[in-house]
Amino acid sequence: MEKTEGKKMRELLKEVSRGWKEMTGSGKYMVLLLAALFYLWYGKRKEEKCLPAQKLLIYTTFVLIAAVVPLSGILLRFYQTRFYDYVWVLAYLPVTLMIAYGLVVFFMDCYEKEFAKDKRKTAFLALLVGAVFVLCGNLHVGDYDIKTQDLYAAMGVDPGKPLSDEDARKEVAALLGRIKEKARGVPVCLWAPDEILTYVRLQDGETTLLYGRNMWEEALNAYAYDEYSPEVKDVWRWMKDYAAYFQKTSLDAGFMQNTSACVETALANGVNCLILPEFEGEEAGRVIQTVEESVKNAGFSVIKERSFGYSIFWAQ
Amino acid sequence: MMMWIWIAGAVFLLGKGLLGAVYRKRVSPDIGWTDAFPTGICVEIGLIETAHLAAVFFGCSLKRAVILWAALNLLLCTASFLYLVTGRLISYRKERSWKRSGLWKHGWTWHTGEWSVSQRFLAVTLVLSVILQAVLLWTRQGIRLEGDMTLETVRSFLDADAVYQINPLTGRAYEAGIPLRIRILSLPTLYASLCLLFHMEPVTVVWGCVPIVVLLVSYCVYYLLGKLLFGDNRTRLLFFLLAVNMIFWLGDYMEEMDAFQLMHAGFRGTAIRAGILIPYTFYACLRGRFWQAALCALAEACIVWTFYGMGACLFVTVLMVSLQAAGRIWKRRREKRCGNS
Repeated sequence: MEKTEGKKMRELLKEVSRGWKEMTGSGKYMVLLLAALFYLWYGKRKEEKCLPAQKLLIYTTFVLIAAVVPLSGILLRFYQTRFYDYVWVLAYLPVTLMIAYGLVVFFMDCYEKEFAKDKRKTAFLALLVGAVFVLCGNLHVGDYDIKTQDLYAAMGVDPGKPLSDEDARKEVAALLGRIKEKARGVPVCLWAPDEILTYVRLQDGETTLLYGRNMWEEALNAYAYDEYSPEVKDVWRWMKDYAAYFQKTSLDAGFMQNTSACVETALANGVNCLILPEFEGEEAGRVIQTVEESVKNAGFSVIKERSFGYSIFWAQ
Repeated sequence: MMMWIWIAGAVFLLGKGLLGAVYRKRVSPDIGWTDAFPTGICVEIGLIETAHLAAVFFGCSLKRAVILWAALNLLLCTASFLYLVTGRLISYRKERSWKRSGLWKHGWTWHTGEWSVSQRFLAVTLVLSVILQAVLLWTRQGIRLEGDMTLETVRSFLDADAVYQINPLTGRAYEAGIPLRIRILSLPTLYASLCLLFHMEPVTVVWGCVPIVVLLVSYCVYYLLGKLLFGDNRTRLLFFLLAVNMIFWLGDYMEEMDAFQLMHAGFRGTAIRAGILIPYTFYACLRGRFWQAALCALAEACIVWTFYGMGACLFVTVLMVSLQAAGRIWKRRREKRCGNS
């Protein structure tokens, strides 16, 4: 029992010390915060700081030290619970406020004491400060697309340029439009590659899915007690393997054997529309054929069509 | 357009009315329109939470919850409007002058005095930059989808006309249910209500309108903090807001940063907390208005999954109060020691 407790404590300590590294890893605004605090503590006399600024300074310094020192960091960790990563301790720090305040005080002190009459030096200082901000930060906008490249990769199509999340959503919207047009009011339960399922529920609340984003995004499982059955997980793995087919030379032996079972599980769970990426090759052709036969064997009639680089199977 | 006018008007009236009622002064020199917006946001969250809890615990449909919320809004906004107008009229009758009645006292200081060239330059740069940020948010570039299902949840509420009955990710009914702590979070109900009331698409409301509102109110809060720190020094205040603006542009390198939350996930509870509630909590604590800090803590509990912890706003409030109390005790002891020696 003691060893387990000791191990837990060591893990917590590691997490806290890693947390500071994560905070300062990709950008340097925490360093700017430290610089701002240093200047405000030592660059300004107490009488020069207004009372609110003094209070903020004391608070920020206190919390920053508490966050960095492992033992107090553990207490903070317990407070915010292990649901959140340790880096969320940043929420308690007025990072934006203190960096902005420190910057203004520093710049205006330099301007009023040194450069008031020299516009060139003022401009140079402003450029320098701006450059520091840019170099410490991030100029990437819109770099948080998920699986957009995979969408086209699964189709075996090279778009010839980086694909934006917006484009991927439009592709899925067009596909959904086609599906709903074909469905003619019949409720659709869809089974498709992850890259399509990602955007379906974002755009259409009526279409149901065999499984959602929480199948591959573990964090989303925290929002419900529901779990997927092992059979449904197998169905997901089958689709994942097939969607990645074009990157391999051939499909695994077990894949073909599992095809019928996965299609039957999907149909048993209410799926009436199945989307498969279209690939060239004999093996891909055999998979399509097996899927079609499995749907028929389950007692459904199948309508197959090709749209937007996909094979769409309707089980009726 | 209607939605923008309604949001601005309702939030302003609710905030101004509450501030006026608490301070019992119809005209308060240091409580301006910028104070009204963050306070109004907290009140609005409280109202939607009421309607949301009615839907969750009494099984009301979403439409009924929206009617309840709209009715509460109408009632409180009307009461606030009448309160403020009668206050103005009473002051006018006393002073026989709109100026002396205080209409011009607060929030209009920027109209007094000449603006220097540098101040105009800073102001224009700031306004253009904020507009550019708002345009970027409206075009919905760089929305962070991972780990979030707000839009799916709003759609499921609208389609099912019920709150938290359907798994948003699959569209099927829940089998084992969801934690209670999740069920009391009311942001998806707020967004669904806006969609229903103004006949707007969920994606427009959730990914377009809400992040812009959150960003603009965040600037209001930083304006208040800037006024507190720099007083009437307009140059420093403008420079401060411009620095905040720069941080919002450049500081989005990590999901936990305020800039990331505001520019890539402005609809989330954590973004509202980072951009509005926590900075306003600092402002409230520094002004000694701890009831507003408590309001922020309650608002946070309604929109962020604080799990079984107490939340960031409460942490900030308790620590600020403790540090201030400790500072006063230390100062008194030092004065006593100096007096003795």
